[in-house]
Amino acid sequence: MADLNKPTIDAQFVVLAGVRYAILPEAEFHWLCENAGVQPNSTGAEVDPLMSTPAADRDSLAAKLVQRRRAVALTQAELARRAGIRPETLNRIERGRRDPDFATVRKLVVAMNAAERAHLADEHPNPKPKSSA
Amino acid sequence: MSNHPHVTDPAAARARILAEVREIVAEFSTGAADTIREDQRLEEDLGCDSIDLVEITMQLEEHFDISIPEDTADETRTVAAIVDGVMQLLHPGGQH
Repeated sequence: MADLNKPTIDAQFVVLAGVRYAILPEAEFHWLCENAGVQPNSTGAEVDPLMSTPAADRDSLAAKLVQRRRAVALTQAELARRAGIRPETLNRIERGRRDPDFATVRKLVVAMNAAERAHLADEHPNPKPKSSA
Repeated sequence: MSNHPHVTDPAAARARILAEVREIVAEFSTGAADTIREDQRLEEDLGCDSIDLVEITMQLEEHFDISIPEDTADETRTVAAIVDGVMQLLHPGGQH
């Protein structure tokens, strides 16, 4: 049943008025919507996307990280190893529970950019040589 | 290395840096290069998050061949502050 190759979703369940609801990190909700090709229809209070708050920034960061990491098929543990940070730290960042400092984000971006370049090279094994070095 | 030769006119140097900074910021923000103003704040006005701020810093370093200290990068909040910071790194003490 459980397919180890499939990405996992961390959800918790609550029962409200007899209905069972799944609660999941917003980053994962958006990832699910994107993969299902559906538009999230939020009826709750809208937050101005340009009004950056620490919490909004954490969510945006978490969503981007998860999306980019999965696009290059890296596990949390592998990305953490490549970035030289603790897997627990990355896990907390991706869950929006930690606001990472500049140095940590930079390590993640460097590792992710390298992974994305490698991924592209795998998909296009014979790129045209650059005309200038 | 030498794509930014010494420029005697600080205003001209600053204008050129501003144009290049706008292009880089536009790549990682909600603003288009020709609409980005110096007084705009990266996060509140241009919608940058912390990944964008890091990407912008790395692009600036590569483009201008400079090394931006971490705490400077972390404390830079506006487009004007980026331009001033780059200006300072490229032409230290060039305000005379």
